[in-house]
Amino acid sequence: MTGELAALATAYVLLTAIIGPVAARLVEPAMGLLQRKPRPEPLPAG
Amino acid sequence: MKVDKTPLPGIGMRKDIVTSSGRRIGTVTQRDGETALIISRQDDPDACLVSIPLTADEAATLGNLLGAHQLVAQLTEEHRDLPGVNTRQFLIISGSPFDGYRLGETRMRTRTGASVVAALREGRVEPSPAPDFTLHAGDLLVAVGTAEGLDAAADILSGG
Amino acid sequence: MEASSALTLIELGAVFFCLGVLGRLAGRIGLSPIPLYLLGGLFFGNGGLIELEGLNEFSEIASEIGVILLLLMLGLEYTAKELVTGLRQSWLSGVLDIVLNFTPGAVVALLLGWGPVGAMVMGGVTYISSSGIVAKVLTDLGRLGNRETPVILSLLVFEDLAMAVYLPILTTVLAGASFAGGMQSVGISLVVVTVVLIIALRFGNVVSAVVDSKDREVFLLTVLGAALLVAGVAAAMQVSAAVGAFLLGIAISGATATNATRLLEPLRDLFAAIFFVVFGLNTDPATIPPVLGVAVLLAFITALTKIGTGWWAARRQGVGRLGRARAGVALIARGEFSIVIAGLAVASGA
Repeated sequence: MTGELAALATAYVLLTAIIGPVAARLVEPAMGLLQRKPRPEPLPAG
Repeated sequence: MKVDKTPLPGIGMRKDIVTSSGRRIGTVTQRDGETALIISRQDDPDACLVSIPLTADEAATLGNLLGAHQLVAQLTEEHRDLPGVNTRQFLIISGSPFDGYRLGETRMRTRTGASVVAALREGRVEPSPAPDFTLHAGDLLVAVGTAEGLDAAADILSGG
Repeated sequence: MEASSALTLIELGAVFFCLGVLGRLAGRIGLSPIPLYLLGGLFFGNGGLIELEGLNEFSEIASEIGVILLLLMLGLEYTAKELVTGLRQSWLSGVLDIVLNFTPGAVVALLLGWGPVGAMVMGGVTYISSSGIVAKVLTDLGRLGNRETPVILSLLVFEDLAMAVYLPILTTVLAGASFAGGMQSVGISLVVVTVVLIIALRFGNVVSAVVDSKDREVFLLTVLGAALLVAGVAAAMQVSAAVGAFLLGIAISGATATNATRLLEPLRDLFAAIFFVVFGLNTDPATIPPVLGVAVLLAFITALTKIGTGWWAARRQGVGRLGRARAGVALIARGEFSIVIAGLAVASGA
């Protein structure tokens, strides 16, 4: 089991450690698309 | 004014206020002392529109612009009819000889004739601080006196 | 002897140099260096493109020191007060986190026929988010001032405390102890963690004063020495060396902790990099393709369960939909501690 476990853990960590930060960057535009609301940033008012 | 203090475990502390227009404005201070000014987004009050890193000097100056500046302007206005009376502000920088000492120990009034009418700390005003008021780095003192007296006071505060 | 030492130096130098290049690349494209270190290890090691022979003795103890430093620094990062407040505020979300994210790994391990021990290991691997990667992402994206950020951070705090209880149990189970033995070590580790938290809350300044010194060199040696001593004693008591270091880190507080962090950071980076590389070195790249499908599936499922956890935790704090999504997605990355757990399992040969 040890070899397989090491392989699975390695592959799994590689995947999540790469996907995680990328997804964190993309989540806002993705949510924007999902809600079909363009989100222009208004000038800081008030 | 209510300041929300939210600990950020492992990172530092967030302090913010909610303005009457519904925006969150505040600072994030990290463990290593790095401070950033944060302003929330209009469409998403949870998120930040900007997070601007500030040096200690920049933060103190910004604080002056927003807080002390108004106070000094007000005092100057009140003293306008008294020629020769000036208002000036002094920042106690870290490493100042009086950091940690009591206001009385500067003997400013005795030596210069100028008197401290207010001290600003963390955005709060301490009107007419007593001689046993302990000075800390970052405090801003507002003093009233003659131009010469205020010059002398500046020398005392920066050099002792 | 002479020739082998020369070989070790050359290989070690080559590995560090390549890691440096990889790290620069990672920074350029905004990646955490951890996955690249792992890839580097895979590339060099056992069954990889180049096989390194001379590294074994040094790298083994170095990678163990890497684990100890990772956990010591994790403990230094939090004050005992933060841990207790975090525990109080986020225990419900924390429990949900365990249920949602431990289960997929455990179930997959059982389906693969790895038995309860394998389930316990894989559950831990899929459970714990990488506090290093998450903190870096939040800082890089300027989200430290966001309202969902304290929610994310307190979940991480909870996970790290859970590790302090989980690791000793895992060590016992991996050592082949019975169920009763396992329960006993749960009891012991709970008691030890509680005692350390109380000591840190009440007498943190005493512990800090013992290791503190104005002289950098003396301070470095004292802190490092104390960490290795505590870790070694903990290991001898079957409580897991890493947890000993973690608890020492918690007990050191205030300015001492800040100074120790500054001083130990480069050492941690060095030894942790060795740890990741050694883990990659010992993994035969040929064994990865057969499990890749499972890994992708597991990554997909546990990405969803982490998003669910973050979403729920953020909603409890009154954060809006977008913030909830940000909180969930931020937690996806697993990293150093998943590898620490898998490394323990591999080392025990279970």
